[in-house]
Amino acid sequence: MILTALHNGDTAIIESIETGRGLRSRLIALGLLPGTPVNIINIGGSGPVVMEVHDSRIVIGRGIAQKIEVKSITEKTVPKVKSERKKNRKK
Amino acid sequence: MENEIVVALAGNPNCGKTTIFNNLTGSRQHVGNWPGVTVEKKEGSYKSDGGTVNVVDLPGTYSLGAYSLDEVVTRNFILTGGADVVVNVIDASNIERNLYLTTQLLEMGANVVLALNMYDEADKKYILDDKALSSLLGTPVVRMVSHENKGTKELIAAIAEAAKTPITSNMKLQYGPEVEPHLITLQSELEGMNLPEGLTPRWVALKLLEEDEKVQEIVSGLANGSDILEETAGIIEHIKAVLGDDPEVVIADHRYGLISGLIMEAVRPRGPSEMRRNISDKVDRVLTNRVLGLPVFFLVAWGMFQLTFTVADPVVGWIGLLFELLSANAASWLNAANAHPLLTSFIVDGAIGGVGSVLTFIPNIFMLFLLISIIEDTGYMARVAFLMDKIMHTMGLHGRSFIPMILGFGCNVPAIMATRTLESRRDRMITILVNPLMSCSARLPIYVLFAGAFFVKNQGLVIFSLYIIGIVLAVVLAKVFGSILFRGETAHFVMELPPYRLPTFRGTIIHMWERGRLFLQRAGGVIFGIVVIIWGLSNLPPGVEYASEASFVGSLGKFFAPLLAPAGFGEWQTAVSLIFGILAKEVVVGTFGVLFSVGEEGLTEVIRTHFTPLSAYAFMVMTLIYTPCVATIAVIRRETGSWWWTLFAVGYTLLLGWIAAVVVYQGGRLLGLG
Repeated sequence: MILTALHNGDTAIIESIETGRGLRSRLIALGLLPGTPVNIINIGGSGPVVMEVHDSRIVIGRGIAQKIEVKSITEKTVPKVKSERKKNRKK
Repeated sequence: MENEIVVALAGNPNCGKTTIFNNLTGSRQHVGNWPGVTVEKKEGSYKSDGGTVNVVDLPGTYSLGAYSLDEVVTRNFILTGGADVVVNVIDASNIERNLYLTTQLLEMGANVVLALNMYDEADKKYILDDKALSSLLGTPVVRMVSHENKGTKELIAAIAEAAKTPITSNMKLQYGPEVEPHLITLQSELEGMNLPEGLTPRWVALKLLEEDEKVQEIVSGLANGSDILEETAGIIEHIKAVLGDDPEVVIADHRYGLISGLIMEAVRPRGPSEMRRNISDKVDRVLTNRVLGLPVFFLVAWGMFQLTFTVADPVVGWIGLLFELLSANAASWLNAANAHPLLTSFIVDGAIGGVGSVLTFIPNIFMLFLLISIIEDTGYMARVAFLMDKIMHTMGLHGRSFIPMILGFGCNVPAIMATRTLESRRDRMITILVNPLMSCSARLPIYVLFAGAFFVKNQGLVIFSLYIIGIVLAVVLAKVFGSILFRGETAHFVMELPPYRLPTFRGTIIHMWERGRLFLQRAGGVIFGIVVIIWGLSNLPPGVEYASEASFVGSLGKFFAPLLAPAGFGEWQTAVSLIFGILAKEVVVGTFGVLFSVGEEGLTEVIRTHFTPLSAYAFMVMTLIYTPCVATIAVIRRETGSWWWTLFAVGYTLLLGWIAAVVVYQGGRLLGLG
């Protein structure tokens, strides 16, 4: 599922970041890379997304958030189908 | 030149690096630019063991890739052996992310001393075994609380020790069975290749796998370089195919892996008592709330303006009285002493009338700077960028562009320099071009004077409206410039929201003083000089009546006045004030002080006889928008690197200011307001 499908308080693990290289380097430096758990702090509406990454609060624009695939580890959401589709696409 | 060493401070933004720099160097510091680029270079020095230690404050960065100019500057400085010791400042309360930079510094073979800053906050959260950390990383570690100046002595000692016996960390970072063998192959091939000084084969091999553009450039310039690049491309494809990820991600993963290993060994949580975070998050629940956030911000802004005017206002009155008293006494004393009338006029009309009328507004300006300092030091500024992101997107920019705009309320010069943090040239150019529309503190005296004279009851509201006009015009023009002159997508919005910090009294006062001092220096220097010129031109040609139409300024003013008549302020004195106001905006008020040679009645009363409320408002709109001051023009030239865009900024503001003033005046008359 994409990151923007999460809700406030959700915890998820980043699966992939499908942005350009420069931006990805930037995100990695801020601690955002596949395998990192993130905790959504503020995602409502259509503005940027605030999340907890390691011990810091990181804001990313909505456009970037839409390019980040995550696996939710909170029970609310059922990401199974989508995440399988993602794996297929990768191959 | 014995015993001189260079220490570089490296670290993430918001890790307290600047405070440590100040603690080390005190007042012995100066700011310049890195050669060839517009990245600020801060240097200072201190004495230790009879030798001199030069400290270079490197730009705050999260990593050492080739992503931004800041990163490239930092790593080039370290790679070329610019520093004997690199002090890596770490926010110990956010140790995991901060250590990412550390791993990269160590990969480069830097002689690192680790400064575990904000140790007090970290200590509340977890038990940090600094000895274990030190032995695991193979670097000296110093505990610090920079805002309380704790640990500075220990740091100085550690620096001296590290300079004497440089340590190359024994930490060997391995990149796993898929990457490591390729890394070793590349490394051995690079070994015989005559790499530029300071670059180790391993580091170059690593950067090639990370597809670092700058390193690719270097390698392509070497003999057999293209073969290596081709080989690297093959390896990258192979790793991608096997692991499903770019080597860059895999490498970063191993760095973070090493870090979590370190953390497991050296850090034990104290349980779930994250006090500071909890408070910070609670505050954020209100301040960055999707519904409440913006109204709260406008309330904060409104409060700032109220404080700037109402609290400071009585003091302005007292200073005004003081200058009137000074002026009257000086005049009678000089007359009694039989001084030459020209000297009396120079002191009373020129010096006291001109400079005094500007200095009167010190309380407003210092209050404004104090408030801006508080907003910056608490961490609220980053939240404002977050809140404004959506609005900024509608004008084709993103939230970070809003920070230079707020700083513009203080002074446009540092505000335009602050655009350096924007990555995309397009965003930067637009933000620079609209920045003069942010009403700076030098324009404040004009508003205070005119609003005080004509809109006594609604003074705050009238001045607030001018700021709003500036913001609205900036928004509209940013959109226009973005869609006509600089097409393309805005860069991406990524930033950290640092935890809120209670600013220290000392820190805030220093911050305010740094900015306010410039205003005082200007009043004593540039503004005094210009005022003297205006006074001189008011007395020439010889024998002319002081500040009359027949004087040189009179002729100058009369030449331009007809152009301003449609805007409702066609008097020659006004034209003169606007012309000299381009040199420094404070001069607008200073010119009135000189030309209306204010005697017993204050400037306020004289102004009432020359303007109507409507023309006063039109005049304030004109001074808000028209041509920025020369200091701003110079900084626009430097930061855009183009005379064309500089001329454009000068031209569009002049035209826009005139049109807006005419629209206000003529529109107001049609509505029967004037």
